[in-house]
Amino acid sequence: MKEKHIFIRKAFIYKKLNDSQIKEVNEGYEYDALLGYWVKKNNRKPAIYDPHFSGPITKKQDIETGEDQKGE
Amino acid sequence: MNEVEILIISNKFDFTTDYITHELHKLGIPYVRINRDEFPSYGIKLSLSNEELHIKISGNKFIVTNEKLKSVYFRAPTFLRYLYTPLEPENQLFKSQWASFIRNLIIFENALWINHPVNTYKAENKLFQLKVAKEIGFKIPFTLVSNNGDLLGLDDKNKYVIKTLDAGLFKIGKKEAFIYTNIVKGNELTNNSNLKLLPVIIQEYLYPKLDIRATVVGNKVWAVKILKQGKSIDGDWRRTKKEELEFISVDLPHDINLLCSTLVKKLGLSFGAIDLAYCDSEYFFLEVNPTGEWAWLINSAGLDIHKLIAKLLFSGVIKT
Repeated sequence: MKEKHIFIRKAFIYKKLNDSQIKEVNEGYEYDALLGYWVKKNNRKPAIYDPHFSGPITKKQDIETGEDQKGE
Repeated sequence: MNEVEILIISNKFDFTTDYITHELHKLGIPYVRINRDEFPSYGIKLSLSNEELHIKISGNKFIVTNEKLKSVYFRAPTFLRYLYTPLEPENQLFKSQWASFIRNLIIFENALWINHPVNTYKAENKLFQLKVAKEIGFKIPFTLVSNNGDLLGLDDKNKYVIKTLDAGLFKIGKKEAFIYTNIVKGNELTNNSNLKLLPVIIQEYLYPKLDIRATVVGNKVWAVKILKQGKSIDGDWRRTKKEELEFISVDLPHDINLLCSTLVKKLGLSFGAIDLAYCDSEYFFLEVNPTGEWAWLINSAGLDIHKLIAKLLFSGVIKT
């Protein structure tokens, strides 16, 4: 059998979180289109400063939080 | 009608952008955020006769003009990397046409861009960054690019670093994969006929090395050293468990600090996330990411990066 390229062999494979899964994790919060940030539904405070909000979440599950705008 | 001074181009789930919009909201600065994944919910009209962009969001109208617009925060990719083939023709056109639309917003030439997509496009090329970094005085690791290990003259027993030229993201079945920086032995490259499939960056293995992330915003440079349970990390630190990592603020020597801000400037950027390695009492430039992440450093290292980005967006100029 043909050996795979070294990059393919050494790649880190993970299950990507999709937008609806991220939304599910952040139940109780919603995006405010006029403020341009996510808020907690019951007090309209910014979600990023709420300790229960998952915050910037990486899709490739490493420490560099947030999607670094590399993909689509 | 709200005439805005700051335009933010992002996507709805990019929570990093929230830090900026919240700062701008606190400062009372007129801004608007448009998300790439929400275009169909907006009403958009761009008139070239007066170079005005009208955006209707949730019944509210925003107007962007070359005269009033101070800055643009561009949180979007410049290279199109399609990992998934959209099933529907509409999806394909949605992606290509809106991506082009946001690129065309470069008609707002008077604004400060963080970062300008044209410059990001150029600066994202790793070999080009290394070349520029070397030219301005950075020490860089010995670097080759090849698809044929036999041409390289590598020592079979020595260790080398291999990395991708472009972000190593791809799809395997229903899962996604990412290629981090890897450490390999020379014989893994010289005896690998499959290497010819694609170009690979091969670099000198710096060991032991201390990873340093320098985040540049305008002229300001923040640096953190990256440790795993108090010790430096062999290989790609991003593979270390989150809870074991420490990010500790450090002061870089003045000349290295200056090289970081000079590099970002030289590449025509206002922001850059630079990876450095400290090895053998020298600082090596590894790469700069014009679209690099920074939000995790707010809590982990106490850096107020978001506040300075917001201030820079408000001022619309980088003081020299």
